[in-house]
Amino acid sequence: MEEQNTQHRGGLTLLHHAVGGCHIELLGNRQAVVEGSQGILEYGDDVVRVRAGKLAVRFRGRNLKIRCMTADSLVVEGFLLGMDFLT
Amino acid sequence: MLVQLARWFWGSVRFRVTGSPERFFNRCAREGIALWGMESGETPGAWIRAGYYKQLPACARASQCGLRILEKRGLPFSTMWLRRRKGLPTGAALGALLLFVLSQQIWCVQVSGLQTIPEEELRAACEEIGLVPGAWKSQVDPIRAEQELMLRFPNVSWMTVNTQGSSAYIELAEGVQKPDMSAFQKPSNVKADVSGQILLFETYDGTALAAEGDAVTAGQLLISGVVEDTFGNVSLRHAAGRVIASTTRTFTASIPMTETLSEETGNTVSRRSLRLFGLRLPLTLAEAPGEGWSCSRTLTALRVNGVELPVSLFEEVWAETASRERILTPEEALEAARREVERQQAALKSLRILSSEEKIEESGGVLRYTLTAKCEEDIAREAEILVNSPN
Repeated sequence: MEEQNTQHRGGLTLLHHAVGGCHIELLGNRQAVVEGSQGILEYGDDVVRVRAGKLAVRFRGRNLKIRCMTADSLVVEGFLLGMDFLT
Repeated sequence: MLVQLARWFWGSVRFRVTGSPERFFNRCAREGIALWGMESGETPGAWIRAGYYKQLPACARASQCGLRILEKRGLPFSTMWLRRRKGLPTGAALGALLLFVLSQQIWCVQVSGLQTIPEEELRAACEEIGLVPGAWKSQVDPIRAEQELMLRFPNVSWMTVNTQGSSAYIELAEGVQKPDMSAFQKPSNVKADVSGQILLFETYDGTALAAEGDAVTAGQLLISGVVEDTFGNVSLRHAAGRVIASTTRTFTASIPMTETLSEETGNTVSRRSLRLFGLRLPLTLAEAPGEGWSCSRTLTALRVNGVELPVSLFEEVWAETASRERILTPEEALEAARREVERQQAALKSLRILSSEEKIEESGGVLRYTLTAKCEEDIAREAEILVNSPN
């Protein structure tokens, strides 16, 4: 498991180097899974701002909640209205 | 569902964060502390597994935040009151263990179908083969027990041993014993048992040597087992017949005019013991008194819904007795003598008393009762012919 995580992190590092950002998966406008995040910068009902390398990703919506969070990933749930990439 | 069940089992704590929740959550994530249900707004907070909460204050200090517990849920908190009553969970665990152990044992042995075989004898045989209350069910082989019991009781025609739950059931059917026919095949004569005059003479087999109206003496040969056919060949038979004769019999009884009575003085000693799975646990410390005391024993088994449980109360009541001599009245002595004579008459088969005469004497503290009776009875008595064969 640890090895898989290391490989996964290695893959993310490659992806990170390749595209210069994190891996974000959206499930409709209800859930966003962010892998490669480095922490949250702002957490509110309407806005969740996540640091991802050189970028910051801002999720906008209503009743936004962080369902769970680890050192390099998190899941944002709620009614997503938009997503911005901030430098 | 599984996650929720795990959270309930391990317990979870909801807390509120004061300060910068983002910094605190980031710190927790870096420390590898798993949070869920993170709330934002005016009262930011999250849920954490109860056991991990003690790691949070360090994160809170590092992120310059404050924590306050809002809610506790789960099994560890709902059973918190049990920590002050350690006996309850210990007792429940011991009870479960006891139930498990006891369910592996035979609690009672129930027997049905006994007619002539004493139940105590069958139970003693069961005990010898290990079929007793308290035996482990895994060590009881019903088929083997069945075979061993059948060998020990040959007059049992059918038997089955079953274990159901914690009970062992023995059902059996006793057979009818085969009569001994060898006695009817041996050559024998018929002789007169007592002296008398023959009233009825019936010969079933053999040669008749007397006839109706003859007077015979005790031991006289009535029917011979030696039969000679028309060709002069002689053969030995089992002579049989019915010889009703008029006889005179004398019955006597001697009754001492004093009798020794054993009476209870009123002093009793009760000894109780509890029988649990065949173990006898004494409940009283009194010793058995021994001579001069009479004992009565009762075994009371505990039953639930007709099923005997392996718990029974055994009680011995010892009563002190004292011997006392009593002088009988002549009427009482005569009554006892008549009973004794009636017992002697009952021992004689096919005896019919036609008339009788009583004679009563009392001398030396003894009542002698003599009954002379004219009777009709079957006086035929078979006597084996002893043949010494050279082969």
